[in-house]
Amino acid sequence: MSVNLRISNVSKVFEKNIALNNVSLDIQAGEFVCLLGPSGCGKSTLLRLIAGLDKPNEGSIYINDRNVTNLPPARRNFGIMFQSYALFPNLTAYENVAYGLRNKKMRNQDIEARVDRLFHMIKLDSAKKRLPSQLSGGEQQRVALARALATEPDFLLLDEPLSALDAKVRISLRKEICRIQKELGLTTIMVTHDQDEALTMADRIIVMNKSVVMQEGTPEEIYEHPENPFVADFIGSINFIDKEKCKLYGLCEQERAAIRPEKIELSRTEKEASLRAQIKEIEFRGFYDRITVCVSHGVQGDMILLVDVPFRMVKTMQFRIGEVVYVNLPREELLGFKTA
Amino acid sequence: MEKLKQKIMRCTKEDIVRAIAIYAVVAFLLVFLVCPLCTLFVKAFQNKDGAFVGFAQFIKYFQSKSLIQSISHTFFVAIMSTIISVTLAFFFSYALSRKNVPCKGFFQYIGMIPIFAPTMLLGIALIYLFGNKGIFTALGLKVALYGKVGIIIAESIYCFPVATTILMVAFSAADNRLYEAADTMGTSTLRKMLTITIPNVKYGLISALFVAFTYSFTDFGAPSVVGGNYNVLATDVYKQVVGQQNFNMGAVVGIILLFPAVLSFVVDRITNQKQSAAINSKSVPYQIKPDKKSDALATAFCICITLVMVIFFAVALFASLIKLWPYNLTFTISNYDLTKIASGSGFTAFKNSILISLITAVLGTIVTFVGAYMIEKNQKFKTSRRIAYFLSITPLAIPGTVIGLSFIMFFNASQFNIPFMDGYALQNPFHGMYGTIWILILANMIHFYSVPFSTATTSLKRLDKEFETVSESLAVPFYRTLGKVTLPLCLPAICEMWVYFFVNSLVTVSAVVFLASPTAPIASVIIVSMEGAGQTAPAVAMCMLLLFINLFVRLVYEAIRGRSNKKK
Repeated sequence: MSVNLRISNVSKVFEKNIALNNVSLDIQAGEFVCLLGPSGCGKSTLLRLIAGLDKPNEGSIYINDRNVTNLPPARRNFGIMFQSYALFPNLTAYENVAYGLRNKKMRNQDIEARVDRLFHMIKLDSAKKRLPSQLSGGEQQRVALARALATEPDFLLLDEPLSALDAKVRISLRKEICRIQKELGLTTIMVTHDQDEALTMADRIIVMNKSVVMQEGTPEEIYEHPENPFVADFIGSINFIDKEKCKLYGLCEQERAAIRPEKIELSRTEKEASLRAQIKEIEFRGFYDRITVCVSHGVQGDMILLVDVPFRMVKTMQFRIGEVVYVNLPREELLGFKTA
Repeated sequence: MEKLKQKIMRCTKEDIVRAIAIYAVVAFLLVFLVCPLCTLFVKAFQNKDGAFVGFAQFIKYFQSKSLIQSISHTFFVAIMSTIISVTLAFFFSYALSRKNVPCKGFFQYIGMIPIFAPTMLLGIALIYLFGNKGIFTALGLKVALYGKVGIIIAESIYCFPVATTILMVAFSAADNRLYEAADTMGTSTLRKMLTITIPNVKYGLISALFVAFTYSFTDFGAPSVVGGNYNVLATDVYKQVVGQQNFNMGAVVGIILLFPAVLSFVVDRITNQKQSAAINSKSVPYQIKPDKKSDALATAFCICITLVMVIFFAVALFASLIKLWPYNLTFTISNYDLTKIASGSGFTAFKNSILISLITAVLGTIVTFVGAYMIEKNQKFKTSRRIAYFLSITPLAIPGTVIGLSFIMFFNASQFNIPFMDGYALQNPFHGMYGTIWILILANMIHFYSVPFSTATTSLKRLDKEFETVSESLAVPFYRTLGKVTLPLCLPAICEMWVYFFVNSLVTVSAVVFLASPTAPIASVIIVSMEGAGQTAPAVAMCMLLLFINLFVRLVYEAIRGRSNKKK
């Protein structure tokens, strides 16, 4: 069974440090939500409040419209995964997964059946008898996932579950977690500082900074329509263009504009509204090149822009440093911000 | 070309310094650790006339009823005091590291006090409490003190600090995430204890058990005071060697004493390695959650433990300050008049003890640090370094009684017969040390070698390995880096080593009881003989003096450390 969660005006203070400042959130049943933000933004604190590992100073937390603010973790019925796996080092993988079930005094054969099913699900049938120290990081985290799911929780909390793993393992585990989450239709909240992780995994992203929510929305919304410069800057790369240069180049009327490097077009032929620029740097990035260009307009008007050029175009165009090119900033891709 | 020549010259000079240092350390340990032990082994297989008799001595030993009895006695008291002291230390360190107990530092220091006093003090305090004219006895609480009960109580208190120290370290290494994971699964407190806490401190617990066992198995001080007719191995050796001058039988008992110590040493080595593997960098330190009931219980327990300690030492202090227990309770400080103690040798003994402790602390710190440095920060002399390392940690496995015994045999011999080469004999160049304070200094240096050595090694390991590489690349000789960088950075560790040597040398009795002579008396041995002669009050006064000096040294050390910590 999946549940919805509601966080209502929650604040948390640690010895004069404000970790959360009046945060409210609604999470639908079955939804995969990512709390994304730089370290110290309060995302882990929020997760711990939802888990009941810490208590908020103000505000309430509701599970299926029941106020659980003062309930201990065990009575909220969720599963949790930590960055450090937190597997019991002295127990086998099997006993780790069975740990919560033994607390519930289930019959041995029922436990066995359920644990077997979980090991099958995480595709680690052969590792049951092994100790955590005999498993790789990725395997340990899968066991931790199985343990989190063993008690048939109503929702799942993931605290940076992938940040301790190697790049390759991380990507395969991303898929694994998403598959299992969709299979079970389990409400899931994941904390991460990795934007790629959030973009690829989440149904909805909640971007946090300095103890408040900056923006919430689907990955597309967050990426394409950041509501403020922080979100625009934190997720993906972006060129900011300040007010004077906007006016100088006739780009827009707003206070501050921004455009993502891959939205800028680069060519050797002059088009209407394109700007003359010189290539300053070319950085090889694998499937694209990041080219730094300098648009000049008189003495004070120099504008540095980053442009991402896809691999195929790089092959055919063969840009060189020092070369004069033309950049086009499509008006529909320009993002405008009111505040600087 | 000229420069190259200079470079070679300098390199070799440095190498010579290194070589001298490492060989000197190895030689020191070979001569004063290995040779005496070999003498002991040889003696065990010889008869009084020095003829090889194989296992005859051992067979004779195991046929003697009273000696067999003392083995079973020793095991019994050692096992009992191990169980009691480690159980108490377990709850004490659990309370201090996992519960909200106020004034933790205070409790911890009080719990450590027995380290700073000679074990005889515990025995004497017991006599004042539970002896024939003891306070509790007078109140109607009659305990058959002399014998196993007395020894077990005294040893339990004696082993308590070391077990606590080991367990505090074990408890400090916990991953809070494990407890949180367990909490989310609704785990009971008991189950958390059984599946997380105890497995987590398992190795510390094993280590504490073995160390406590060895301590109580080999201690001499407490049984000599409250043992009565209950004979144990450590007092047996003393009787055999000092009483009956039967060195060969003493050697046999010494070898028997070695067994549990060596076993405990091996277990400790193995568990140490496993313990360090149990925590990783991703672990989150344990966070104490307030819980009124269990916090109050923990505080109450800590208060009980400290109360016992305080009662022991308060009674000892009181007894040292009155005229004649229990008949004349008028206040006096005459017991502290060292010139009157032990027919005038009290003052010399006290002076000697301080002198020996100071010299041991200085020389011991230098030798162990140089040894550790040469082993840790050196690429050459692989074999010598390995031998030096092994020899440096070996003393941990040798009970003080055995060190004293082997020293007496080694230094007492005026010449050594070389085995299988009859007629050839080697003059003993160290015979002259016999009967001087130098043999005591050497015995203490060897006896307490391993712990400061480990302290030095740990602090050196913590330093960046690149320091040496950088200075080498800058062509700075290693001794300059040592003086300018390594030594200042290791200064806290060096102070700690110095204090360890000093404190232990001042109160030890097990090794030196064989070695102190009338020409070079020392305080701890004088205490044993005074107590034996019924001069309990001056004996306890002497104990208190040693305790005060040690506490003073420790407090000065803490003050210095506190100040240098603040600077950082």
